[in-house]
Amino acid sequence: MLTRPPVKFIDRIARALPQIVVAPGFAAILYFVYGFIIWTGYISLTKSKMLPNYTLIGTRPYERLFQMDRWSVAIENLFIFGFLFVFVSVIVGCLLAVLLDQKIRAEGFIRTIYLYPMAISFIITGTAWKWIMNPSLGLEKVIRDWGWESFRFGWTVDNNLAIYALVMAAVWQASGFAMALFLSALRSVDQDIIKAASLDGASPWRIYLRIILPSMRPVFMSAMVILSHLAIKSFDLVVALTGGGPGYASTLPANFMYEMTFRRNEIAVGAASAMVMLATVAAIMVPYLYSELRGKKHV
Amino acid sequence: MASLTIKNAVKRYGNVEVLKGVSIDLRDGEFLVLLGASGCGKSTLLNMIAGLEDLTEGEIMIGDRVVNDVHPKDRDIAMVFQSYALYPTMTVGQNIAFGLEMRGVPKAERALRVEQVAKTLRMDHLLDRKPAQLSGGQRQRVAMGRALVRDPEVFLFDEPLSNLDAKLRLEMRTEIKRLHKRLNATMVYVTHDQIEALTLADRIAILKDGEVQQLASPAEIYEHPANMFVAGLVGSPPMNFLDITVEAGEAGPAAWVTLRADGADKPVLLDLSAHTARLDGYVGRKVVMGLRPEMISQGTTDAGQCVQCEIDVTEATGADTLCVLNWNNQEVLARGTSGYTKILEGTMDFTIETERACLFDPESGLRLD
Repeated sequence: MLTRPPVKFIDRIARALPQIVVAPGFAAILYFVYGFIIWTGYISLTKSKMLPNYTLIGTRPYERLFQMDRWSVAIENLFIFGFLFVFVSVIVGCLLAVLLDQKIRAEGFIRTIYLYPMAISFIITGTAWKWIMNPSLGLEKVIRDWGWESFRFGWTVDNNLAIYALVMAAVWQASGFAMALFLSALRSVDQDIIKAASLDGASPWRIYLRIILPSMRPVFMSAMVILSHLAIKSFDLVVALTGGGPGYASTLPANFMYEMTFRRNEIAVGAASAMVMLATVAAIMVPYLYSELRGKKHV
Repeated sequence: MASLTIKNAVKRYGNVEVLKGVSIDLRDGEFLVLLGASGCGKSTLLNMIAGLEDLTEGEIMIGDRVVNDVHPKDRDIAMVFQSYALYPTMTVGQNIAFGLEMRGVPKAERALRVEQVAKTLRMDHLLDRKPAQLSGGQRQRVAMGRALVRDPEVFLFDEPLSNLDAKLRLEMRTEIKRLHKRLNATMVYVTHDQIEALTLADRIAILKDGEVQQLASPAEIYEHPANMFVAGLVGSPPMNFLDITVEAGEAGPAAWVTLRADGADKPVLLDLSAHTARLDGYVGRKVVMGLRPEMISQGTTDAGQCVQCEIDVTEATGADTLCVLNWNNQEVLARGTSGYTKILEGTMDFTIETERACLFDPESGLRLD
């Protein structure tokens, strides 16, 4: 009778090797990402103050969170900042890409210049723009020294304008990245389509508006998702550029969370704000991932 | 509809001369095929007619209007691209209507004309689909529809069938032919497929290295190729070329050819008396004899000189069986009797129609006339 030869130990290992290799990383992600999400969610329902305390008190931290003016300012700021940052970056990036697409000289050099800000950390961007926008040593002083005595550019010290100063610095940093995304998409458009459109009698800007840009919809989606999550995570830029000030006029949720958790001994409220942020990100990412993973049929 | 005149068109990229003075004259309603291998300048010439590339020298006229400096959209031409170049975000209907829309045709008329074209090309059920949802053949139809709806002076086709599978290519070829017959429009068609060229064209221009090798009707090109390049390019299976030395025979010029028969090489004197005038002054010199496979047919007939030779290999293609023979230690293709019915093997009789043979000068490659 035929018997199946025994599977050697080494063969079994070889067969399981992929799983073995992936396992540590998988375990680490499971513990450090999802584990801590659950932990934070739990903490947000406890009466933790300076140190974690595991006594559950229901949704009271959330109630306290939404009663705080600082939090509503932070949420409002996030909407202003996020909306302006994403749209201005996309529009500026798209314009730059279209302009760079005109077969100009030294394109590689110019492209690198526009893309470079993305390689700088937000802390440095923030510091540099803090100096530029500082009324007594930045742009305002320079222009006044040139003779325009009444020139004012005190955005960072103005309660109502500080958030727009953040938008300006963030757009400066991210629009080059958006440009690179759009440029590669522009380059991948079939040249025959452009030829066909110009034979059809379309002017160059109509070709862009009617044919090329609509065909780049997936890239617009990606750019918006990447930029939105940058906006929601923004923390270091605020710390470096305005410190959340004046007062708390330019606080963003991430700064709020840091402030509550590590400075004001309100760990539960900090955890609650973190959970609200997670929900916000999920609200953006889940529909996107869903539409992406469902397949590319309707692109 | 209009005539199309290309006068001494030259195109240079830096020092590279892609087109070296091409002149072609097209009657109103004529179908011209530009045939050549890739890199011969045929697509450049088409792009120049379309206005997508500038001429370095020369002149292009549509009707009696010089269009050198006229923008592509004002030349009143339509082009079908190899990649179809459909607008991916628009539906089929919008794709077809786009050119009319850009020209300010009112919406109602646009809809009417799109509908007409869709009916002609039998794709009225596809109008609401996006290009990504269409098959290759359907996309091809849309690309044609986009050209048709504009009702232009000149149609340009840039290898429109080369992305289709063999069966569809045949269908669309017939469709294009039918279209030309119905519209009677001036058309310029670029291809590297000689069968397409032979079947579609009123006249074929064969290009090589930026020069027109021959501009003539398909029959003329097939029967009387201007040079060895044209003779080798057109016709499938390709023409056989044999190096021969012309001798003075009894009835006129003749040449010795060594045939393999019954396992031994046997010299045979081929009678070239039909070419006496052509070979005047060539006695004792080498020439190249071009014989198409169908000029060497199996069996004994009185159409030409009968010889016996050994069949090396046979290749049955269904309609005919090709026989590989050995002449002058060189492979020669002959067309055997059609069908699978007859077994072709060993040494058999073949008839060579020497009076239809083409003779070329071995140095210049030109046909002796």
